[in-house]
Amino acid sequence: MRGPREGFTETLQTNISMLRRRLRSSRLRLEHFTIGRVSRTDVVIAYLKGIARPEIVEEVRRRLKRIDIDGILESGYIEELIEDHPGSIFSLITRTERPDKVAAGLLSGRVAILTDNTPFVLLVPRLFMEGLQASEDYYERYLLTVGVRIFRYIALFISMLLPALYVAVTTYHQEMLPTPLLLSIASQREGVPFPAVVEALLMEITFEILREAGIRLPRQVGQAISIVGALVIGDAAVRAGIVSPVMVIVVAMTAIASFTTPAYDLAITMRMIRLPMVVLAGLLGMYGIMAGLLAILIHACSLKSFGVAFTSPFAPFILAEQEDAVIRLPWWALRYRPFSMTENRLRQRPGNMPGPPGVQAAQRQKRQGERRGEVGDG
Amino acid sequence: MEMDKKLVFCLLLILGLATSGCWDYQEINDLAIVLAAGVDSHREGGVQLLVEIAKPEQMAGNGGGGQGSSGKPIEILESVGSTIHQAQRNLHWRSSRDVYWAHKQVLIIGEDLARQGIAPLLDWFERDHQARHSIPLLVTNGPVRNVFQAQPELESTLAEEIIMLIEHMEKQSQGYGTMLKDFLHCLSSQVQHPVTGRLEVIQKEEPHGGSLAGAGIGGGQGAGGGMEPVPPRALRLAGLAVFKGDRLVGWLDERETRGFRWIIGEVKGALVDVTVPGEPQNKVTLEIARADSVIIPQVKGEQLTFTVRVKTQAAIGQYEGTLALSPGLFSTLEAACSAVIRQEMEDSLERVQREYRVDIFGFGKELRRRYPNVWRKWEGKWDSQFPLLPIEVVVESKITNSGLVTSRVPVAQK
Repeated sequence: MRGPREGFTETLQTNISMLRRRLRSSRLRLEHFTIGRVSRTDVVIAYLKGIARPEIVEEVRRRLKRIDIDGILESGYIEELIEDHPGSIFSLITRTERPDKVAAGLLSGRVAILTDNTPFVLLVPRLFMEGLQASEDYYERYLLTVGVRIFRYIALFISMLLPALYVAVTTYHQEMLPTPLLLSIASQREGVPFPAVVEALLMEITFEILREAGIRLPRQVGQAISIVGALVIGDAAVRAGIVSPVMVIVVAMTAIASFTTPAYDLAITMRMIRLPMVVLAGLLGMYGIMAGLLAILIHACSLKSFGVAFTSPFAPFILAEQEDAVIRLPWWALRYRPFSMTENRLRQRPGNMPGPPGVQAAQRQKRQGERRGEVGDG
Repeated sequence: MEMDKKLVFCLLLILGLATSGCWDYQEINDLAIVLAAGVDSHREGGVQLLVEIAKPEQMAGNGGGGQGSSGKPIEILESVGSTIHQAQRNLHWRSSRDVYWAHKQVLIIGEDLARQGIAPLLDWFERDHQARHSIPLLVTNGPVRNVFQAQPELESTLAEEIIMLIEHMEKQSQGYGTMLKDFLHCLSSQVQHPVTGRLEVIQKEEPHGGSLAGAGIGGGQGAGGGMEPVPPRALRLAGLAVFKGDRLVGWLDERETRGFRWIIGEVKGALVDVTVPGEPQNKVTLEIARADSVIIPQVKGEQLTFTVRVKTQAAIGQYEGTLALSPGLFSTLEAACSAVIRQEMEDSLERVQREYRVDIFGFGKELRRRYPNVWRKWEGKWDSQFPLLPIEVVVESKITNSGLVTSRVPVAQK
C-alpha cells in the first residue's frame, strides 16, 4: 500500500504538529476547548478558513460546548455525544488515525476534532461513500482505483446480502438457479439436518464468535484460533454432515467480502444488517430481502451529518461530485470540492492535464486565456 | 405511553411476519426435480404421465458425504389421470417429495396422443406457474414409455441427452426442436400450422455383431449391452412431426426435414454431396456456411404464386476428384449444389402440399405481411387452397472457401 506510514499518537500537541506539517498555511485554524468537569480533556477543532463552511464549523462548536460530562477518555465519547442520529445503524462521524486522511478531509472542507490522549481523530461531516474510499485510492494510479472501488461496492453488497440471498433462492425461488447448480446444491444438502435458514444463522454466529475471539488475542494465539476455526467450520462440520459445503463457501465469501470495506464502522453496520436479513429471507424469501433493503435505503436517505445529506452525491444526485464517488478521476480532473461542505468549490484551474511538451504549451495558453477562477489557496 | 405503543407496533410487525411467512417455504432437498416429462394417451382413457426425476445424491461430482454414488442418478415415475393436471397430482402416490416442475427441460408427447390433439394438454403447461415455456417440445414415434426406457448414452440424464441432441442436430439441420412457447404461438396464429422435432427410440446394436447399416445412429457401443435379454434402447433426434392445428398428421424424413428448413431459412449447418464432373464415382462434400431464404408472394389478378429464393455459401469439405480445383470447376459444383438443395426443397414441398395439405412454412404469414388486402380474400380458404398453389424454388450457391489445398492428395503411380 502506498502512502505515509505515520499515525497519530496519544499526545495532542504532537498530533497538531503532524497536521501543521501537512498544511503549512495560515488558513489552518485551531480552536481549543476543555471538556469534562473532572478530566479537563483538551479538545481541538481544526478547519481551513475560506474552505470549510462557517455554518458547519459553528455547528461543531455549538455541539462541543453543549457537552456536560465528568470525563472524556477517548474520542468515542465525543462521537456519541455530538452525533445527529444516535439510534442509527450507520456511523455519521469518521474516525481515523491517519494525519494524511485528516489533512485531505480539511482540504475538502471538513472539520476535524482532535482529542488529547487518543490517536483517533474525528472528521465531520461524514458521507456514506466515504466508507468505501481508502486513502490509497488517491495515491495509487486512478485506473486501478476505479476498478478497486467498483469491486468494493460489489463486496459491500455481498457482505450484506449473500447469506440472505442464498437462503431466499434455495428455499423459495429454486426456479432462479440454473439446473446443474440446483442439482449440485441439492446433492450437497442431502442429509443436512437443519433447514437452510438455521444452517445459515448457525454458521454466521459461529463465524462472529470466532472473529470476536481472535480480535483481542496476541497475534500468535489469534492464528491458532483461526486454524481451529477453519478446521471446525470448514472441515469437521461438513464431514459430520451438520452443514453443507456450499454453506461454508457462502459464509466464507461473506466474511472475506466484509474485510474489503475500508471503514471499519461501515463493515460493522453491514454485519449488523446481515443476520436480520437472513431471518427476513427465511420468512419471506426475496420479498423479505427487498422489504429489508428498502427499509435500510429509506433510513439511509433520511440521515444527515452536520447538515449534509448522508447519501449525497447519490441522493440527492450531484453530477459534478461523481468525479470522486464510485469512480475517481485523475487528480488533474478533480476540479471540485464537495458542494455541500465547502464555500469554495473550485479545487484547481483547468489545464492541469500533463502531456508531451507541445501539448503543455498549448494548455498554458488556454489557461491564460481563461478567466482566473477563484482557487482555494493561492 | 409513547414507548409502549412503539413496542406493541414492533411486536405486531414480528407477529405478522411470523404468521404470514414461510407458506411456500420448501427446502431444496425436499424437492423431486422433474427434468423431463412425457405424456401419452392411456388405453383406459385419460392421460399417462412419465417424469424423469433427478436423484441429486447420486449425481456425479457429489462433494459431500462419504457414500459413493452407486445407483442411477435418475428415477422414472409414472402416473395416470383423467387430465394432465390430475396425473401430475397423482404422481404423489409414488413420490415422497414435492414434484417440482420449474426445472423441466424437455416435454415429449407420444404419437397416439399427438394424433388425438394436444391443445387440451398444453393448456396446463401454459397455465401452471411452475412449468416453463422456454423448453423444447418433441414428439416421439410410438409410445412415450419407450423414450423413458432408453438409456442416456453420453449424458447422465435423458433430459440432458435430448437437449444436447437438439443442440448438435444443427450440424446437419435434419431434425428440429420447437420451443413450447413458439409452438403455442404458432398454434394460436391461425396462419401457420406448427411443427416440431421427431424423437426416435432405436435398438442399440450389439457391441460386436452389428452392421454398418445405421450410419446416422452412431456410437451404439454401450458396455454391458449383452448382459440384458432385451437390447438397450437409445434416442435419436431426426425428422419432423407435422401438425394440422393441434393434431399430428404425419412425419417428414431427414431429407425432407432439411428441405423444410431450407425454405424457412433455418439451416445452420449442412453437408451436401455432389459428384465431380466427369468422375461420377468421386464425390465432393460441400459444407454449407450460411443459408438465407426469402419467400416472395406474387399476385397477378386472381392468380397467386410464390417464389422461394435461397442463397447459400459453401466451403469444400472433402474432395475426392483427381482434377485440380479451378474457377470453372467451382461454377459447375455450385450449380450441382443448388440442384441438390432445390431437390430437397421440392420433395419437402411436394410431400407437405400433396399428402399433409397444411401450410407449415409460413407462406400465408408472408402473404399477410406483404399484401394484407389480398390475404383477406384467401384467409377463409387458405387450408384448402394452399395445397394447390404453385411454388417456385430458386437456389443460388456460392463456394467461398476451399481450404488450403487445391487438389486431392496425389497417389504416386508405381
